[in-house]
Amino acid sequence: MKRLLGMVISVCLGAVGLAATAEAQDLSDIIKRGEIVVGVDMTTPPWGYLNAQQQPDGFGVALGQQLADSLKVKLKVEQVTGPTRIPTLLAGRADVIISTLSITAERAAQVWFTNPYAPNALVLIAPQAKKVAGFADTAGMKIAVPRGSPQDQIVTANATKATILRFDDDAGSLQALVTGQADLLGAGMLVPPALNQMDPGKSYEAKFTLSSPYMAMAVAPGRTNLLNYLNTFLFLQKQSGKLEEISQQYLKVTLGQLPTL
Amino acid sequence: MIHQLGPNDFLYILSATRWTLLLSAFAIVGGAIVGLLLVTMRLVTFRPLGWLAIGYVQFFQATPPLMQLFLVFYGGSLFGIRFEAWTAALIAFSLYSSAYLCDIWIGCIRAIPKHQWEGSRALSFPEPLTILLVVAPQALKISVPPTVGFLVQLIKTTSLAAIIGFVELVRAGQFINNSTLRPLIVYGFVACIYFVLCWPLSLWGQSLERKLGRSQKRA
Amino acid sequence: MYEQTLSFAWLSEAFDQLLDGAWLTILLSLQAIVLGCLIAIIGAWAKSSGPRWLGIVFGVYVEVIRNTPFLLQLFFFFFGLPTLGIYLSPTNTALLAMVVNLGAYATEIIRAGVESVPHGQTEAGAALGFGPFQVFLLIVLVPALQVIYPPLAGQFTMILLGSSLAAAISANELTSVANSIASANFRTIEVYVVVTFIYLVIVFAFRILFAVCYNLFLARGPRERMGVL
Repeated sequence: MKRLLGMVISVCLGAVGLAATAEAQDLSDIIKRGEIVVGVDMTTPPWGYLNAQQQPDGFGVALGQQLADSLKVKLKVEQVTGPTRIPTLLAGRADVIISTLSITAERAAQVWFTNPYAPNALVLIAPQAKKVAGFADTAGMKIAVPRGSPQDQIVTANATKATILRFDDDAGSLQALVTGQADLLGAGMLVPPALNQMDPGKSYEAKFTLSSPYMAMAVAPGRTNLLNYLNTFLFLQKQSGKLEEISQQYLKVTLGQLPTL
Repeated sequence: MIHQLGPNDFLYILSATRWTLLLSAFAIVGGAIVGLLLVTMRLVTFRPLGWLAIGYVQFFQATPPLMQLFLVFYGGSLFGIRFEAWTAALIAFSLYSSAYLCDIWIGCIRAIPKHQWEGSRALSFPEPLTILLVVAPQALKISVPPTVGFLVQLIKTTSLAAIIGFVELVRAGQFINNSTLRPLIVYGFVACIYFVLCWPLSLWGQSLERKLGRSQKRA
Repeated sequence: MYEQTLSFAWLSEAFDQLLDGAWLTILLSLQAIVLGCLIAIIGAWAKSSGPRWLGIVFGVYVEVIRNTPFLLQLFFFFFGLPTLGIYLSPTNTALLAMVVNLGAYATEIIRAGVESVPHGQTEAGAALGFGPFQVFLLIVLVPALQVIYPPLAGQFTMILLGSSLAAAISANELTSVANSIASANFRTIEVYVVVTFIYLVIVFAFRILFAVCYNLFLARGPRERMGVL
């Protein structure tokens, strides 16, 4: 027993002293490789999902394809989950993530953001029959959110009399609302129309806006060349109207003017 | 994007079964190789090696397989290695299996009656030869049922790979569920596939055990 | 090129949270062990000497649970029960799933132990005027406990480790707390190293508890004492 404990502690301490460097992969490496690895979450329609042919599809995949075309390399979609997307990037397993990542100060300390590619107002969603106008009405209710998301932080800070259910990803929290395990759902503004299509009859609607962040692509810190390229790429896509094109196709909304960092 | 649950969706989930099977097959082979190494470490006369093997087995049996998976998946970057979800799952489940297999096999070797060792010693067989020619064949026979039982446990455990994004049965179910929102039907179907994979193995393991029990009673 | 260095500076801040999570993990496991054993005793009785129909019901239950992943069972209870109009909190759903899971495995372990008790003893019990369930409980189960205790204790550890999956249905146990901390500070590796260590400590504490119980109540002599490893 003592022996074992000693061993475990020494292994833990050994790990503390370790410092390692992630593989540096900047723009030239991607071009040399002939392939760019883009992390997208396949459980976040319409941003990322598997289509009826079970192929990766959605706004994020389409934007990734435009990026690959612009670089004249092949696109490789790395499927990530909500909690694994930033670690995937930091571990060097994707060059860039386009996975509904809202720009927040906490995340900016971990990854480097590009200019935004879409707005993503976060709202509290419930069936029409539920009367909720502000945080005061959420007392005693159960609110489902993806763990660690901006909506998690806002709801945790403001809905102090509600029970907050934190799920691994958007899909889990959405499921909780539909099955009635949660009364309210904190999610993006595009979710209610999608929900009404999947679960008709309840008339889901946005009750009020939590915040209006923007989604951006992100790269691992230090990848200056890649970041510069991505911002230029976004500028060109906006100018040529190609970004607006995929927005109409997948999101069914007009993006309009997007701010820059 | 959002669609009605159709036959295509069930086919997609069914086709993801191959990844569950492949992951289980590779992990049990990897686990067997490392497990044999651990068994050898336990049997050699140089004791520190044995202690190391015991510590290893204890670690993997006393921590959640989910944590082991996370540590391999995220920990690779500490050493500058990038693991795909598949590689991480394969490594984590191989290590996990090796600990359980080592434990099972050591138990089987212990179950061989003392007089077998002594008899072979009386014939002045060297220790490794005793193990290889006398103990191993008998231990192998009794080790089959618990090893099959563990294989069932492993197949079910590979479902955790869904949490790091590896597309096997459960993850495929999650994809389909998220664009159709029919959790009971989708997860029910996934559960049925696991049952079809695992139940025959369980029955086989149990019948082997009964046969072994009968033959031992006769002896 | 950017450097990733390990840092444990967050630990002091997150310590209370981790403690809360660990406590819920311990509580869930202890409750699941007690309730799971109750189900298992009834199940073992039903399968070995109860009415035939009840034996079949428990037979199906045991096979279904033992041959499907625990993660799916959790999803099933959490998303499935509401369609029947039953609403349980995530924590209670996790407990229910753990009880049902452990109950199935323990049923099989206890049944095997019970069937190893010689027939003569059951007949002797009946001759003393005990009813069938009393015979099962007093004459068969208690002597069988000695044989089945070690595998049963192993199964208790498995359900404790399995509770880490309850994070997927938003129960705030240890793994869930770990995921929350990691998603806020991105010290992913460090958080999981620490939490793995906490699990190790909890499991060994449980094993010591199991061994103490065995040595106090079941060991017939010093040579039969149960160790922790």
